[in-house]
Amino acid sequence: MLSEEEIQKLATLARLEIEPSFKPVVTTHVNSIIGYVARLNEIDTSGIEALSHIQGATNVLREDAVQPVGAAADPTPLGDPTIPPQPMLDSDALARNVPASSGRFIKVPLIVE
Amino acid sequence: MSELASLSIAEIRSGLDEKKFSCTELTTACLDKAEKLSSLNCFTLLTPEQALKDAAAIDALLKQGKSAPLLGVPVGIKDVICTKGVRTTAASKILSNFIPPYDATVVRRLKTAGAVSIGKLNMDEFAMGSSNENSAFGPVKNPWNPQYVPGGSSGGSAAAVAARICPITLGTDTGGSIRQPAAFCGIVGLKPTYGRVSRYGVIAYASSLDQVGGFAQNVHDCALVTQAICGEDPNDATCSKRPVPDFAKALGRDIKGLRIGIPKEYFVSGLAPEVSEATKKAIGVLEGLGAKTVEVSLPHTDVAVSVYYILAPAEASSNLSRYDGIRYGHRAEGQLDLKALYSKSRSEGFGKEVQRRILVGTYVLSAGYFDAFYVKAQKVRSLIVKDFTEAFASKCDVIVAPTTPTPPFKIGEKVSDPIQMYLNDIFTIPVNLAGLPGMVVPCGAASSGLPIGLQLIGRPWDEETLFSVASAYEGATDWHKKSPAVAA
Repeated sequence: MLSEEEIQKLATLARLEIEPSFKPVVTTHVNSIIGYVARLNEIDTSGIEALSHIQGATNVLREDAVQPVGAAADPTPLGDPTIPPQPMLDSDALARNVPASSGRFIKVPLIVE
Repeated sequence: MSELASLSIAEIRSGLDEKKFSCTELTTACLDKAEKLSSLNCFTLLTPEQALKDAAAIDALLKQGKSAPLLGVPVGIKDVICTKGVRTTAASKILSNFIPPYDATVVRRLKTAGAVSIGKLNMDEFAMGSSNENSAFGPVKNPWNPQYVPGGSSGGSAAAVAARICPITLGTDTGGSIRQPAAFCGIVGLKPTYGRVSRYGVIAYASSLDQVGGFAQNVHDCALVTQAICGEDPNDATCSKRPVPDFAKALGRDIKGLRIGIPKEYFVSGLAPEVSEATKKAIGVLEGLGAKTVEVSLPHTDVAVSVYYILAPAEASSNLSRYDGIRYGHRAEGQLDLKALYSKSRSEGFGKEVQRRILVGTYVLSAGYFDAFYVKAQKVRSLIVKDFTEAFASKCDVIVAPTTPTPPFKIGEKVSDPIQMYLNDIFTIPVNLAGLPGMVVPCGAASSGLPIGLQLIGRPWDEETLFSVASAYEGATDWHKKSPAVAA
């Protein structure tokens, strides 16, 4: 059984701040889930290999070359159905979703005193 | 013109080709129907401006005499799939203002096929849920009875097709999130083989299980939408290079002599009598069409839920670590140090079920528990794969089973007990763990009046047999012709 303190430790590891009123509830829930999934221990898996990929896929490598920057051309109805490799997104496109920025820079809290 | 929204793809295509109506009129009808049925809460966003602009471009192509299987067909996209320039939230507060700079490959494929997106569909937050009650946008209502859940996590995708708002939609299925809502809403849904469809641009939940698939009113339309989204993608290393067969050719194929496996572990005491009866009747129909039934055993069925609720939260806790409030998504206000900014942004942004799964995932991956939980689960996953491999190797060509242990349940009925909610996916989860294709067709109704769905499970890469069996069953029954009163 995990205590509320142990749940708090997990939350800290996962960078979550659990609402005080939710803490006892989530402690009960997490314990019931862990208790339920622990039934796997009853299954004999000696000699069984752990699955790593369902179709045995392996790494896909490419040349170590500079990739183009920009955006793939927009698709057109009944246009070329080939899926183009997505170029690296340019920084302006990415910056549009940054919640706090200054010019072309992302604002972050002070990290080094 | 609201009846236009109810048309099947075959009716839409002939109507457009014969100039009985325009794509603009059809798209307008679907958008109007979505507004009219807004109380079902199917959509997180309607995009009328873009949809009508796209429809006008399609009308120009139609005037030139162009024709293609999905040209001018309206579609809805689950809000976990990125759409360039159109807000994509995964039904989470943490992505409430995220505008993707690119299209997911499946969206690109639909646009190239000439389909017209009318908006983004509601879902359980980050696809975590079986009832659509975990959405930051509020629950989706089942069109057959708004007191009932539509299933989840692709609840909006299923409800929109069942309510005849648009003919096809896209969903994703990690543990049953296409098949269970298809069953609960009385429509057709297919989760293709893992690797058949690109996951590029699909917001990740559990990457070893996630797969995109389509919903439709009937098997033919499901074949068309599946055809459009399958195929290799240089942007997703797990997407297969295998050629994609012509699924429409599998429709109407004779199923005489086909060996149908009936897994005995799926017909146990927890199965509601109504579901058992509807499933057995459907099996009888398939026997009447010349298929041979054989009992098969999938001995690890009852531990699949345990395997899933180790692996999926583990992968989720890793995938969701990217939401930090810095580069995109919700950022907490105030003067905070870095750790506080992370944890405050994440706690304000993630809903309770998501937080619960992150905690479970963090636990099973933590030092000291990794071997006992994560590695053990991957070993049992190998055993689940072996169960199916053995059944398909010598005994049967396809497996037919119930989709869910019970008919649809009421909103609020299972929210307080996560295990009860999770067990709802006991018959769909094994298919994801084994990476197999799974399909659902409507096969009955419960005493509540809500639908029941039949699940078909195929060999890896053999969606064709599923389409053959589904179309044969559909041809012999009327369940797919029924629609809820609100759809009229």
